[in-house]
Amino acid sequence: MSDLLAVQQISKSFRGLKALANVSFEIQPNTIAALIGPNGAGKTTLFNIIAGAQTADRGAIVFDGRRIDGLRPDQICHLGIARTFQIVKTFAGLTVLDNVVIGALGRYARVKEACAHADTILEAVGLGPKRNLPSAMLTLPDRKLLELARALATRPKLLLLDEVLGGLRPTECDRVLELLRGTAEREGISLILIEHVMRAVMALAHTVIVLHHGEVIAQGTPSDIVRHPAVLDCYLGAEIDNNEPGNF
Amino acid sequence: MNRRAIVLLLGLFGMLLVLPLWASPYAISLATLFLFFAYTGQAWNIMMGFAGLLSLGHALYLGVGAYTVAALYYHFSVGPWFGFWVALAICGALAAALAGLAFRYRVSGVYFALLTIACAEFARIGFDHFTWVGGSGGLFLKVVERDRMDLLNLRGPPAMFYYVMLFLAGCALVLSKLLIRSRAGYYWQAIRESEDAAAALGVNTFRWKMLAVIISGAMTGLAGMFSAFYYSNLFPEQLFHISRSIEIILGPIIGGIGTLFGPIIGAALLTVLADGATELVATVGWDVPGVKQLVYGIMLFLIVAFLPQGVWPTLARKLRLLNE
Repeated sequence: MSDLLAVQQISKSFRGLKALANVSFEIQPNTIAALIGPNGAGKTTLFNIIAGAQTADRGAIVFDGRRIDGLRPDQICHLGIARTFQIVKTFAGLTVLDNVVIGALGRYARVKEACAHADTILEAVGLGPKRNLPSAMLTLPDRKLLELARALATRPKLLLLDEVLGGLRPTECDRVLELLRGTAEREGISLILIEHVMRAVMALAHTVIVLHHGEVIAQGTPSDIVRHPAVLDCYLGAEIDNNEPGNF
Repeated sequence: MNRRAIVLLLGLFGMLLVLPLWASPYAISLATLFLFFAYTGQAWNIMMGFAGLLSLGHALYLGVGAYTVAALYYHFSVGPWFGFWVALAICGALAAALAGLAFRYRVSGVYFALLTIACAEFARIGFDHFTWVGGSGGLFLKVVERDRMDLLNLRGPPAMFYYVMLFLAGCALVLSKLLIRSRAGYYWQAIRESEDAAAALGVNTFRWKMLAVIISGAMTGLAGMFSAFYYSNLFPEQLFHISRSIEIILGPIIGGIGTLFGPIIGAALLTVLADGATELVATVGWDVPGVKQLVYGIMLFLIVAFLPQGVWPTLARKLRLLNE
């Protein structure tokens, strides 16, 4: 099967500071991938580059068989990549429903149809009862859910989730994990998650990519990654080297 | 909006419709001024209230619209209703050029606002030296008998101008209402709240911001056309002056930025209070120049301090005009 997304030798510097160096990896269709690494490893920069919010200095990004580097964020969204933001950017002055309608409008010719689609998505993520609240009134976990709902409303083939679980209580976390897994399977969406909650990474991801100082230092299944010496060294830490991923 | 609001709105509109039948000439001129600012406020609100683009130089479109129609009439005897379309096109194109350059070079926020001031000032100085349309000495349209109504040439009694302005203000309200519930309205609000997030959701932010500026500029140009024929004289120092731009934006700020009825309520409060104060001072016999500006300043201060959302949201809640 051909790759859904191929990141090819992406490099990016900010005023001489290397953020990403020769980053390459592929994502297959119907895959859940996790992107992990210490703070400052370049994870969010990589998302920004894939989504078109920033441009790479070198390298190419191929999505669904076509080059997308150099395209604008809205064009990339129309091709089927949606994202959430690490620092949530919900439309604070608008209602929960209107936030999602804006995502859905890209796929529907009429506002009415977009509203209907937005409503089903809000029900699915569990924000249905809050649909008419101003989104500024939501709690942070709810705003993260709203970002997710908004991204799903664009009917993506690939969804980039930037720490969507951060700050959630464990029970909420489990609910969102189930939601992500269910949606990904049902709709055939691939996911790339930036995540620090290792429990979630282990439970959800088919493949894990580890970034450190802007370079991919390891890639593999979750169980391979937790045993990978370089990863233990720089990110997970030696004390968890006890073959029990459940302890994270 | 609920049934109470619609009944109230229709009642107020009905009153405005029959106002010239019983009101004094002074009241009619005051009401015309109110409708003028309700209209321009509505136009400015599309840019700032809906799309979050702050323009402090809307006098640019007012002046260019006025001079376009007036010059066509003066030099070529082209009637204002044809000039109407030319003004619409020229002001739209001007807005597109200004905004296109600004957005292309990523001028945003305060710098965008400064740019709009600069363009208006540039036009003011330019028209001061534009002798074909009178330069700083002004352009004067022929005033004929004021009692003979000639709607085709926008010549007639004050009541005619009043109805023209009522029609324009009504159209602006309906247009705003239609726009805000359309795709454009959703996208504009998304851009206003977070341009990055809007782009990530597939919104071509450049294109939709352009649309907001073009609609707003073209609408304001029509206010210029009205202004030219209502006053029959045009001076760059008046039309393009920054105080015109400020007058345009005061209404929506006081009434409520981003709301449909804010610009109307703001315009009503401003015209009535400012002119009321002027009249009062004149009756008492004091000689206080700039009473109007003083009233503007005090109102702006009160609103910013106590009702930053504007009068309309609070008023609507108090009168229970919105569905909860």
